[in-house]
Amino acid sequence: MSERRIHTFPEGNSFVSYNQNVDRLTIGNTIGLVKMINIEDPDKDPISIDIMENITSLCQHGHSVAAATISGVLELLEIRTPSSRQTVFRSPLPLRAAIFINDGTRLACGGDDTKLIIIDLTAENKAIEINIPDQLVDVSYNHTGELLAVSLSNGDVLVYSATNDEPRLVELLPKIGVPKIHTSMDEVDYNGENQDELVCTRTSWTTKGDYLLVPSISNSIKLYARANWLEPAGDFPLSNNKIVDYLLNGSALIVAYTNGEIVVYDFKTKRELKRTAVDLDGYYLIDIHVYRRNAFLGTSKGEIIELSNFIPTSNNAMSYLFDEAEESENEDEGEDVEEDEEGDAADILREEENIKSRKVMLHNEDSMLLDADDEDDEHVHQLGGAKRTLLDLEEEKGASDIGSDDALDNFQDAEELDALFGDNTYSHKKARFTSNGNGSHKPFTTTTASTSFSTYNEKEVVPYSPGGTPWHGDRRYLSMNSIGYVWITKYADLTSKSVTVSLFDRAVHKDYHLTDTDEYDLCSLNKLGILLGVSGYSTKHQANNGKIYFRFHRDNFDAWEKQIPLHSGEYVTNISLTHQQPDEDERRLNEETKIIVGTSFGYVRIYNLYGLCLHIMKLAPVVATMSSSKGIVFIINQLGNNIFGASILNTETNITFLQQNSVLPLKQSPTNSTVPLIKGMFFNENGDPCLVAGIDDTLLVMTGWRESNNARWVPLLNCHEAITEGGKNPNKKNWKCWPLGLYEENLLCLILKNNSQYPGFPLSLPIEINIQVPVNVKEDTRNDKKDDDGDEDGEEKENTTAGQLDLEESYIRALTMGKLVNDSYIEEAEGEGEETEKLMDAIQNYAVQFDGSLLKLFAGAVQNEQLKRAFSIARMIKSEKALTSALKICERMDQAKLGFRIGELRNALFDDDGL
Amino acid sequence: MVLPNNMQKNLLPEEINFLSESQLITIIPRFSMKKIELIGSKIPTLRAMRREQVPLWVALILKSQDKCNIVPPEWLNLIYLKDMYEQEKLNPLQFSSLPYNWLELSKILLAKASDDVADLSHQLRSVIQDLREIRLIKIKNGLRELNEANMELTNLSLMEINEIRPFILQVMGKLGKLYEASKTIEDEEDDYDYE
Repeated sequence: MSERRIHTFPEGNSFVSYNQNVDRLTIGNTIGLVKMINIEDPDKDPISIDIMENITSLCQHGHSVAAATISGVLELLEIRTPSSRQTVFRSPLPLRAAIFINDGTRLACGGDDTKLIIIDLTAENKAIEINIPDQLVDVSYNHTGELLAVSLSNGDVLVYSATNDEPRLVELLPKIGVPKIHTSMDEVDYNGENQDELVCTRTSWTTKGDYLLVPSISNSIKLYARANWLEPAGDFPLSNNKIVDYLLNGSALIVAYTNGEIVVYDFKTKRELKRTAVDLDGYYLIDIHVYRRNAFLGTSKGEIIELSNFIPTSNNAMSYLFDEAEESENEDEGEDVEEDEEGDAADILREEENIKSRKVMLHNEDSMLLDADDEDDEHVHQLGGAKRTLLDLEEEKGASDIGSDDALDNFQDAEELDALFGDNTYSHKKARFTSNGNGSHKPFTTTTASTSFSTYNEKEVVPYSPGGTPWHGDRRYLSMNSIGYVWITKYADLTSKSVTVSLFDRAVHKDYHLTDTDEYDLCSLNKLGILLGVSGYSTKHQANNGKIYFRFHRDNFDAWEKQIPLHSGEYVTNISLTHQQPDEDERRLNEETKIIVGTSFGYVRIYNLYGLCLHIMKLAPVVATMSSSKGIVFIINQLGNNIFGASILNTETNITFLQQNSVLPLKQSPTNSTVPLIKGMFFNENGDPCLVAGIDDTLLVMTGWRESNNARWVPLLNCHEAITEGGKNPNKKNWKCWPLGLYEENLLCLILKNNSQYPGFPLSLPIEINIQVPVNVKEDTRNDKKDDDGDEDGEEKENTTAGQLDLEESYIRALTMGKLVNDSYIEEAEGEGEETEKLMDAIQNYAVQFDGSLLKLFAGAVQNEQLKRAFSIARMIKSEKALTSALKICERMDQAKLGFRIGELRNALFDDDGL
Repeated sequence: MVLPNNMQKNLLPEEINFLSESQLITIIPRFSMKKIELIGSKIPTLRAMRREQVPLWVALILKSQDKCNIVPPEWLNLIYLKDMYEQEKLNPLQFSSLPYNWLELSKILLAKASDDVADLSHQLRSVIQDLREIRLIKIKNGLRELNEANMELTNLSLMEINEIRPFILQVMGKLGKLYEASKTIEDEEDDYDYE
């Protein structure tokens, strides 16, 4: 095997395939050019064709090429007449995939617009739009069965029959694929911000369309039989690295991983046949294509990597199959072959079937020759008239094999295997971009699968740590809280990672690093130590694959690791250390800190600081947990589809529920799946749970949670409005907020510029925003009015109104915050420490603010002669001093009647008190 | 005073810097500390990540020990300063509204806490230099209007005033004397006329 680099493009994402009609390697690049080169001499007479920039998908059929772009344009052109370039469809949102169907007479495409588009090229490009439940991320097509498999953003796969004008939905396969969310809107930068999008979601059909291969979230390829969609007919587990592309070549499955590894597996035995790694120097592979025995790899840096003679010959690949088959034959001589043939197609990968197929391979050569002829005919049909002979096919399998009987046998074997469980080179080409057929070829975007964090998937709880982010290049934040933050970095060789723990209070502990050998994806920290967890999300089909690791910040002498018992399909969704406030006493922390571990099946286990299990309980699937200074644990559970509940648990003395499954105002955004379900969750300094949901970016605080059935959420601030100044400041239009904590009346947060959803590296300085309870519409319209009128009286009046609105907000804020502090004071009342005094002072301040705001509101109402409103305000005033002031205001404004009523009110209130 | 005469009448840049260091500035502490009463001001109780205001000199000491982040003042950002520069260009007869110690403060912060400033230091330095130059030109142009009685100094910073003070004082003194002399001559002429 030798490696060659073809530097046709100096930059951009290059997609590669081979066009047999012109016998050239076709390279499409996002800079807006397709080049067709002779692989023997890449510099000799390349054909260059202009296309749109930023292509997301390129497919070809015969001499036609179609390119979908991120700007939503679908272009079609003829290789022989580049001037024939035309736009056949235009979408307002990016298109992500396109493919020729029905022998090249129609095109199927789709993207972020949640529509599958079918364009009839024979009828003036008439388009049929079919609504689909989520964004389309990929399509694949089978010519024999005229079946279209559409991969959706949420992991669903829809199978359509394309025999009629309007494709008919045959099957919906829910959540079998990798969820994929496109965040790229202008260009796809795999080397930078869109690196997370580099994952394969493309399905693939076998030649006859009997089986569908689907890359799954568990990093395996699942095989679904058309005869039985209910459960997979087989599963092909792969390594833990993210798959960027795969293809079946005979019985060989070739998989390209993000770390630059290319592995050839035997699809039947799941045995690894060959492995190599290419040096990527910081960029990524984006697709793979095989022609003859050579593998061509498209990259995110423009260049193409050719691995000559990389694919094992059919002979090499299957020689051991014959050996095994012979052994099996001896062992299972009496087995009834016919009976096996009638077996369930879903059992196709079972060993008995393998034995059967090997027997067929070994002893039914004659019939196989006939089958091979049939297959050949089929190819002629599928190739759209490009007739090829068996010798042509043999030639493709390697010149050395031509003419030999062995080669013929091997070819037939490959065809038979293909017929049973996979594509071969030729069928793959049909499915992917060569002159032999149609196929979509695209960069494979996103996912939550390998990153294990992400936006919430509709039915599945995704592992989550408060403050955690998805991968941003080679780094991601695992967790952030008021103690510090933890991030993880991939080493350049991509084989191992480093965890860095950064604590805000540097006087207590210095920053330190750990080597991550276990793929940690969950984290929690308090002043004492750090808890890291392996969720086992990507390998959830295996049992007991989750574990936690704890170490003290000071040293790792007492560090321990514990495996979490998990069922098959279960994974750890979150982990939490209790007592996460910075001002904790270390001795108390040592005694009282507990560890909470929640799983997707709802198991909640509570351990002490040394890994001893103290309690276990089962709730609804756990979405998130966090803990306050006093061992109060806030748990979010998934109660139903997009319905979430909150429970509050006191772990300090005995385990008691203060609130249980009260429904949360939390929902996954129905329109924008890139928005995280939870943007921030933390406790304020009084120990009240706070939550910022991704859907509305509003800071909520839970009040009354200490009493049963009295918990309620109060909105304190619309973070987005506050950051962008209500959208009025054009410089801040694309700013977003990443909430970190609530101190007194200030939200501590990071500003994310350029529409970023997550904080970058290094962590910027947090800012403070004053909370502003959303009780009034902001004064935007008033400004417009002011401009129009221009008269000073009007302006003054508007200012007065604005002031009144601010006062209304001020008194509501004082009331809310006062109640929060008061609840905390009641809880603390037993002690007489400094803390209690501080709370008392805060309550008095809020009381003054409350009365002050009401008095000003009252004065405004009296001034505007809104006497009923004024009296309603006066009735809310509870202090005698403030009521006396209200009385004086009435006297000054000559409102004797109102003054009399207020005087009565004051007497009634304070005489009663006196009694 | 042991200082030479020319130095006694004016503040040295170092002295202006020293005065600026007394200004309160917001920090984000990275450690906890009980409050300290100082002679002139106080350092409040510090807790990690809780914003507090301390004198700039305290902030700089803590910063040098990596115990805090300094929150740059609101005006120390590229957008605001560029806006001020545009205003300077639009209003040739006025100075834009910048703090009285903007030059010293920006110099200190860019030198000692550049990692806490959100914008790139070289861009900030560039726009600060532009601002400084355009204001200097305005000051020089304003000298043409100089008279013995008054001078418009609105929005000029301490450093800028300090730079022109020796020259202005001298010139205004001379102009004052000339004015008095001319007035005396006029008075004498008037007296002569009456006589």
